[in-house]
Amino acid sequence: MRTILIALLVLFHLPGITAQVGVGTVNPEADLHVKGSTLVQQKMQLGTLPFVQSQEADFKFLTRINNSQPKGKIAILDVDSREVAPVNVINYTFTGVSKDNLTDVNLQYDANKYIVGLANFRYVGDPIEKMPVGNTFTVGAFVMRAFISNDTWHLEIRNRFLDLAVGKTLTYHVTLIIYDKSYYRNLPVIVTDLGGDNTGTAYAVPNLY
Amino acid sequence: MQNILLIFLIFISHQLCAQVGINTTTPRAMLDVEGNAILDGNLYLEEPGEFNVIRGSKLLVNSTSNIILQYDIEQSKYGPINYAQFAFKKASTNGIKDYDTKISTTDYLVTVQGYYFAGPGNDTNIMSHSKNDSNEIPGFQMYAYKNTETETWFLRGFFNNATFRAPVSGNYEDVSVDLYMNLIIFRNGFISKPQDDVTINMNNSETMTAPLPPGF
Repeated sequence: MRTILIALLVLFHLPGITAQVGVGTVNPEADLHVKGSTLVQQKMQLGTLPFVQSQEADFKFLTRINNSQPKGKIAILDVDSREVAPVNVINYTFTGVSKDNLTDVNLQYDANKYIVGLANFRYVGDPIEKMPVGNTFTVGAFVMRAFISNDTWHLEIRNRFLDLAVGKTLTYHVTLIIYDKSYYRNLPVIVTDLGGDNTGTAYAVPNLY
Repeated sequence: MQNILLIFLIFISHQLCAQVGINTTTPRAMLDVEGNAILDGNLYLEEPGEFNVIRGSKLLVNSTSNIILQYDIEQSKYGPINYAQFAFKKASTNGIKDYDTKISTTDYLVTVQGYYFAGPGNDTNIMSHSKNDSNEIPGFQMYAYKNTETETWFLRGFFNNATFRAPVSGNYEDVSVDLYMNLIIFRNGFISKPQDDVTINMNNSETMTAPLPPGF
């Protein structure tokens, strides 16, 4: 299919020597003007594309659809018309918490498709009390993390060592950022044994280049 | 615009393929347009090739006037994802109650994804301290919220019912604090969108399976 047959309608501007070509139109508005669909079977090279200017806004990314018919339709990435965007921002509130312990909440986001991040944390309610340990007191270990278990994302927020006293209550607010892995790479865990030191260097540059 | 001539500009190369040039007599591809092109219908690129490295390329965007442009984050008004550290010097010993970032709630989604605090001169010898009972461990709140009157994002950063304390002449006293909040600011509607709020009643249980929002 290397032969391309195109009927060319060439319009000469009277004063100059520029030629405009219309396909499917007798009134081309550019050097080439196609009224209808265009199929490029091999490569397409765009020479001097201008840049987005500093005052421009609301432009959209272009994407290429692999399973269109014909293959490779160029389309605008319009997050407003899709249920799930590359980045999704969702406010979560947890009420009726047992003491201070969200030990394991299965958020059900598929870890093969998404990465989950945490933001905007709010601890609202009664404080946990310190606990005497020998001659001094401990504040325990407050943890807030998203983690993968059985291929879905889970959430833990709690003081692992101490508990909120009986009769006290709290509410947690946290914003989850759900990143689609088609756009955001989840690197493997980078493990470093520091051997008791408090400084270190990664054994290799993370695979980002 | 009255004279319309129908001609074919076909350049036969040594094989049987015909190359077409518009405004050029030496086309470098099967179709070579020296000038601008308007495609009113769909565009299909069947074999555009692969590009497998992160750097050395520019993403393409479609402008509001339907022109394909190169996207250069250095020149553009905003990135799809933007990072800014807000450094609050000499904040109240109670922390920050209301701070107007002046960032539009229509155009952006603002999230606080990290924070730390220090005393004057970056002194790390500073802590949160309950106003009520020194046995209490104050919980913290570091977040961005929408102010519906100004339609801008506001920040709050404090420990509940607590002050920041540091040693002053041998005693621990309330001091002003340098609070640093790390904001990730997403452009709304570009690659990011807000989803409906989710409230989960844990019913006094430590584990739960939360409902998955639609579409995920």
